[in-house]
Amino acid sequence: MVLAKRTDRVGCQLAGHVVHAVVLMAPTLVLAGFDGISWAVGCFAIGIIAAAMLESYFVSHDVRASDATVQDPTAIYVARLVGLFLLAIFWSAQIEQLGRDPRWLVIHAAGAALLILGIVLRVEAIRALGPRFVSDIRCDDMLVRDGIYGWLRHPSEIGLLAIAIGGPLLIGSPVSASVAAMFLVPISLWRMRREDVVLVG
Amino acid sequence: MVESRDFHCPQCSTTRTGRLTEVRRFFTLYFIPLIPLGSGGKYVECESCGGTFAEEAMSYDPEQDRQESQTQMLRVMVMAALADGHVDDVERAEINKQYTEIAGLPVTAEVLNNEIAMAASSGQDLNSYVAIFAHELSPHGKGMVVSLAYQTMLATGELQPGHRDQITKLANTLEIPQDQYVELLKQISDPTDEGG
Repeated sequence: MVLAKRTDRVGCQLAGHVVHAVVLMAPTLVLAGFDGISWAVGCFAIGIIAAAMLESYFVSHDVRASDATVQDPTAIYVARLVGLFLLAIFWSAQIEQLGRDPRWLVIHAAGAALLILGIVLRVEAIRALGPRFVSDIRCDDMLVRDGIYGWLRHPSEIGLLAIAIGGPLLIGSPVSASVAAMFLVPISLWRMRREDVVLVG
Repeated sequence: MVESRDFHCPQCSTTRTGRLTEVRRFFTLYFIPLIPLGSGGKYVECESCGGTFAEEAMSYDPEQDRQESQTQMLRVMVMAALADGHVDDVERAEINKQYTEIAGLPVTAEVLNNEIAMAASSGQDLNSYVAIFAHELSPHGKGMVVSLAYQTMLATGELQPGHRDQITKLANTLEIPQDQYVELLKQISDPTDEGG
């Protein structure tokens, strides 16, 4: 019974990731078909889908707080807005690079490095926080100093920024990367300050 | 939230209002929960101290737990007294004295007679009875079982062969190391001896 439920859950997650892959790559597939998937776009797709799969794997193994216990609804709404913005940036980055020659290799390489760094930071943050890794900002949580939190105060926010900027750079879309930075840096700073006030205060 | 009602908060050690909350798992993309993946269990949150506890805390009744514990201890004493085949008046008096110390009130003759009759007809001895709940006992609880049993057996002045057999086995049943057990029996039989 438990195994059956677990199998159902894994099946649902896999189906979700397949749908995510199609939605993520929609601009390229619609505007250029499979021919539009260059090596850089392929790496971008693999990186973003891997990030989503790793995040859902590590988070879904733990318990998430239900909406009934939300302490900071604003943080949740902002997180969802950021999520939608992230998808929009990934779409715009694909449109931006369509029909263009590859950029300097250093831009693609920097994007790949940022994307990998972002994934590692997010996964390490989830592993360190366990069930406390939520979009909510909770005042009953303790200040964590284990794992990656021994080195960085806000690894998940920095990781998200790295993914949001690294993804577009990887496929040679510096304009989308700049827009991502302009929009997400202030929001990330706002969230970091909010967390600091709640946790340190 | 599933429901909100009074419960015994283990952290506050008193009755508080608790929120029983169901945790749901979601497949989440871009921070948006998209596909419900079923329940991740329930937990109780105390509205006063904010402590979170397993769902079972909502139905925990400390008074019922205390009464069950007192009944268990009464049966331990009855089983101990019965280890030599019968419960005499001196042992009854000892059981009553110790029960009064634990519960604050003496056990009535009728209840004691019922317990003796039930224990005699149960086919169990002291060790097989204690083995049922030994794993739930704290070190203090284990010491209390030994103390109650040993003092009941000693009520007549000296241990009978049946008593000796049961009290020897009790160390294994309660998983108390032999040297600690010998020291414990020494302290119970002579509380003024500090072991030095």
